[in-house]
Amino acid sequence: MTTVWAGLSVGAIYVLVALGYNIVFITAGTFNFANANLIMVGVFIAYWGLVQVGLPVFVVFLVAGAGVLLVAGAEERVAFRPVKHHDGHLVTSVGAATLITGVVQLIWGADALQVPFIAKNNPTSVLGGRVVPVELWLIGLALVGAFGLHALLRWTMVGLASLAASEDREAASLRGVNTRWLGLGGFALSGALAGVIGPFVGPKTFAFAGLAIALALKGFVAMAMGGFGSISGCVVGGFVTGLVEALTARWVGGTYEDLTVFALLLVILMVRPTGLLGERTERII
Amino acid sequence: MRKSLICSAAAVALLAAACSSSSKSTTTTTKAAGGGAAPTTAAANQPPFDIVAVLSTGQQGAGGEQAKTALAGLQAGVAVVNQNGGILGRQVKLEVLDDAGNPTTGSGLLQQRLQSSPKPDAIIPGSISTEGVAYVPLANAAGILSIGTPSALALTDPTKYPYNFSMPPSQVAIADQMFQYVKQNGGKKVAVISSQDAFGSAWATAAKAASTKEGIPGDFETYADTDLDVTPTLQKLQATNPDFLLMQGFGAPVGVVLNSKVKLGWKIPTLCESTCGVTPLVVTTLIGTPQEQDFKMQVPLIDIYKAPADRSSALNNYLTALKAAIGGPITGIQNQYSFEFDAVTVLAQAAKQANAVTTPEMTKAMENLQQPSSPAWVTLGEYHWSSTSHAATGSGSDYPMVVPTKLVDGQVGAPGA
Amino acid sequence: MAAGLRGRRPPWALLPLALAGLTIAYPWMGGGPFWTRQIILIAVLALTVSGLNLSFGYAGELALGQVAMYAAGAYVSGYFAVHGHHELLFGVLAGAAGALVVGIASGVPGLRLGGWSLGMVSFFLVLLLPDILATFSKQTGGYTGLIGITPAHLFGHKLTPHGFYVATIVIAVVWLAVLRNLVSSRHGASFLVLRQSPVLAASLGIPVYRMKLTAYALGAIPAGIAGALFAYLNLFLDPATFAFDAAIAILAASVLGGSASVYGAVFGAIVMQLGPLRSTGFQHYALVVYGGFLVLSGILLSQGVAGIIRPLLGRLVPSSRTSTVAAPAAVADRAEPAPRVPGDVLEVQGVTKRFGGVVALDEVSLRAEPGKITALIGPNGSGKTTLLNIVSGFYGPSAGTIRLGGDDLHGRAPHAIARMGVARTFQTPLIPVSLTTAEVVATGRYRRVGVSMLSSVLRLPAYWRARREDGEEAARALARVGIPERRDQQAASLPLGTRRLVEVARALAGGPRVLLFDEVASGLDEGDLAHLSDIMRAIRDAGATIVLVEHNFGLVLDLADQIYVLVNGQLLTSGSPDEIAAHPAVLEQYLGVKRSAPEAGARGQPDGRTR
Repeated sequence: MTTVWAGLSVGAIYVLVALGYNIVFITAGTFNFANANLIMVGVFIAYWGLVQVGLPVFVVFLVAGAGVLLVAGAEERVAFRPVKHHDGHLVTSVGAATLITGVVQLIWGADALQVPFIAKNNPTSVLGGRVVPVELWLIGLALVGAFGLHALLRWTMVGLASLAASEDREAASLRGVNTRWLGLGGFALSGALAGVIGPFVGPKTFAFAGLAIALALKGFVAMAMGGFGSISGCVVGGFVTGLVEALTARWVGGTYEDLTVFALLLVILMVRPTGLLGERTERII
Repeated sequence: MRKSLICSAAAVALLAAACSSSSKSTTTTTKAAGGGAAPTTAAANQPPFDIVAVLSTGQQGAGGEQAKTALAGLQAGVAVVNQNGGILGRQVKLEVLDDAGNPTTGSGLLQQRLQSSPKPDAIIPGSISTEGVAYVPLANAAGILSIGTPSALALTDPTKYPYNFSMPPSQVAIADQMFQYVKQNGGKKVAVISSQDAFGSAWATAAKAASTKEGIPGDFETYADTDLDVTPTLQKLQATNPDFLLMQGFGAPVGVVLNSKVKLGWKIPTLCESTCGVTPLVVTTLIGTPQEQDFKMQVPLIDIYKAPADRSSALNNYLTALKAAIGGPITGIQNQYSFEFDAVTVLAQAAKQANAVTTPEMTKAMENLQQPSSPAWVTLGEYHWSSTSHAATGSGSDYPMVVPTKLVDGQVGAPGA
Repeated sequence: MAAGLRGRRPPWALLPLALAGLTIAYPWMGGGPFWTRQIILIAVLALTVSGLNLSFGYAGELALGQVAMYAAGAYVSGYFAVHGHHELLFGVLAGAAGALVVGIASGVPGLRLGGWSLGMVSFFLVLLLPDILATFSKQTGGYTGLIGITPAHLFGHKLTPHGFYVATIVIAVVWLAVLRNLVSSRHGASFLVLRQSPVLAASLGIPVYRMKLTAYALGAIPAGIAGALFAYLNLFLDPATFAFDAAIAILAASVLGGSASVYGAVFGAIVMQLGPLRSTGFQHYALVVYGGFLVLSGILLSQGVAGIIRPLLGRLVPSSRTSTVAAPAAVADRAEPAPRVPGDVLEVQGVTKRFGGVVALDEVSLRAEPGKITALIGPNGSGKTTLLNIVSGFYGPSAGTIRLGGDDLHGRAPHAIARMGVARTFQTPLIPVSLTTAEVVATGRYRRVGVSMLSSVLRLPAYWRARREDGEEAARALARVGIPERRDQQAASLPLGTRRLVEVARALAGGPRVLLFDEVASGLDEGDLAHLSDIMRAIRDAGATIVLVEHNFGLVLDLADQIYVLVNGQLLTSGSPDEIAAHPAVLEQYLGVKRSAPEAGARGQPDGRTR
């Protein structure tokens, strides 16, 4: 059970990363590679607020959420909007990611920093498995975040507009959906989410410049497994990836983690090319 | 149309700016050591002894920081050696080629340098093994002595690279001291966890050899540097019921391993290999926390505090020169600087012994290095290389286990740390 | 001969060759070791990117595992070199072979997956590389790297640095020439067709799986060659070279240089090799500068350097664009008697199609004869398009037979059926981007006359002959549908009506035994409709077998010689237009007219306001 908790908590982080990717994918129709870097910024802001300045917890959340929201918005404006072709977004979002990492390193240096949890973080036993409180929080956050997004997409006008835009941008635009603002809004939302989860991700992962790449690729795998554009797919993909990693490490060996995840991804895609819960259908003619 | 013309013009301007850079080479003049003996006047008409170091000082991040410490150590060594009359009367000149963390780039720079005259007299082939692998063959093919910290096994084989010498003892020798510690403390079985990268895999191989040599069986597991949780791997190891946990890592992963261990509630004596000393987490925030309960790290003696009264004059000279070279506080752990410092002093000794500065002569001298009664070097007490192995042999007890404390002047165990 | 030479190769097109020559001569013009090394690195990157440009830019396959193929090439040739086999050409071939294996293996999932899935799977090979290298650490040196690669020899003689430089540039130039010859030939057009739509490709007789595998292979080979050259350049291999950063550099070079371009690979390689050079000088700020550089380049070069240069070049030198078809020697005369179209009898007998529990077609029989227009009408969901798809091979029938002339079409793959002379149009015209109208029409001829890749690459006579004949056939077909003046325009940007005509011309160009038209009149205005009707009559009179699936009742009554009415998957009735127009059940279906009013003026309504 300890293994399961470990897998779920790591998977929860993957879910959160994948959610960020998906928000942008659904609203702006493109892929923001720098999303993991945004989460890293959130983690560093949490470190700054909790350790360096000693702000009250509530303020830290506010600053982190607002701060990363601004960074994400700036990223959309500078790196995405001026680029016409989606292919170009790949280059500029990697550029933005590198830039963010560079700035973070300039400010906080290259060494790993410990981020304290906002509450007590002593190991306990739950359902027969060892776990620390922050991990339970992360799992909860992932589920709440996914549910919240799902609700936003299905039950609000903005959300429905986003879904429409993600299916056919031109058509949505013709129907009066302001796709530009939608895109910016999506980035901002993904930024806010990334910032707000910083104080939870940090205690588990430490704040260090290499965090982004660790999250980026695995979050992407989670998204691919679950299906692009599917919120519930994120949840499934993320938790499955985390669990498979953990179980492989426990019973087979750490060297085979990545291989197993990769093989699983391949099998899933062979059986369902659009991911487990993806919704892209292809008409033959 | 106009816009795309402007865009292409801008792109061309970008390229032009890029093109205007040529080789990245900086010559650092050695900084004068403060205080101490007055510099002996070196023969002014002798050509300098040229040391070319390829280091990743231009890399942003941990690699760059580490390279800078290596550079400071070299500069200190050059200062002290020059103070004492240079190498066979020649002043030592240090040239740095910046590979910015990319051995391909460094390879090109080194090749270019090797083709121009005057030829270097010695080469520092990077500070880590992945650099050494690139530069040692080049230096060797050009018939030039290379010496430094890269200690990959292949590089210490004189049949392949007769002119390369590695300053640290072989990894097997260092790991062996860890296993001896285990033995002395009643351990019969160990669990070993290491990272999936160059350092980790090399150390794991060495640990396996040491485990066989000392007759202490072990279960070996690895983790990826991008792992956010190694609890399952630790569980797997825990199930084998070891007496000691031996770990290796650098940076955040060390914290992750220790966090996972605490979460499991696994109270087992833990020994960490020397890169733990280079990990700031270990020597700052984790001190005194449950993560570092019953936790020791393996470091060379230079990293352990010595009271000023116990310091040799060589050590004092070194510290003075180092502080001058850095021009600020000592931020790393001592061995990051000291091995490079020692390299320069060893060169001086070898040249003195051979009474020549040509590579074949110096090589012979290094393989039979006479140990002066008060050597100028500081990391290992003695340096021995042989014609069968170009990894240094220390005394066999120069890598003890210590409890981590805050670093003071790059050392653990200082009073009040 | 003069007529054949005209339009063959304008003299300025030798510019790339001249530049290559200058590059090769660079060391003797005073180039120092630093810059010759940079040029080698550019050549190596350009080779790798050229593979990506072919498989992704041209063929549209997101086969992004170039780093893995590059690594395979480097390690295979490096391994041999460490063990004493340091003949350069052998190393290059071995590297290419290693990369080929990786490329095909990692492309196989792409045969089944499309788009993003393939992209992800192939891209994430980069994650697995270190683990794979570590597993074979005895051969590869594991995480520390492969050490001890012996310098390259050419035919037994050790290469000097200059010699190695020349060899590298020559190899790169040869490969790029091969690629350029390939993409400016029919095969380039075929790749573009594949990228646009695999369905279109199959309907043009292009075997989709084989083409995809070819794209993966051609994408892998240059990466393997590049890897081998890289191994010999460095004489050591560091696994960190083949990591995420390299994958990004390759992708960025492709995008920045222009993905659907051979020269774009060179541009992109120059940008990505030289640009980051500057950033290392910034030490502390290195990452920030590199990141900023990528963002800026992405914004400025979002269409790729090729995307900027091509229009410029096109404006300055109109003949610069190499077409896959030759311009015809004389403008085709419309008054020329139209050549016969070799129509054959299409017999569909008792075809049934079930999709799970749904019966889409139930015992449908149909006979279409040459020199006649046979129409198939029915409400939405009646199964018309399903029947069409079955005839063209995209679905297999659950029961029944389909014969064309004496040939049985049952159970064959779509591209095989296309090769047997079945041509079709699509409800939404499928027109590949980046091809001119003449080139698009010429693709219709591929199913009938093939040219091997070798001929195209080496520019053998078979290539030139096919090129000329493609051009003539395309001109004839365009004249037949009345749009010869459009031949040099970008086909994808034509108005809808014209694009429909392009599809008809394309279908004609292959001398089809049967022509299947799928809702060809929908979306056209009166003028276009009249024009189209004329053309179809002309084609029919030239002997073609035409099957017309249509909604437009009036058009069908006007044009068809024989009408089949499908309702709910079943054949309601069939007959001549007069019979159908008076048929009470048909009237009820289409016009909601009750049985009891047979004379309610249904007949001859030109405006097809059907149900």
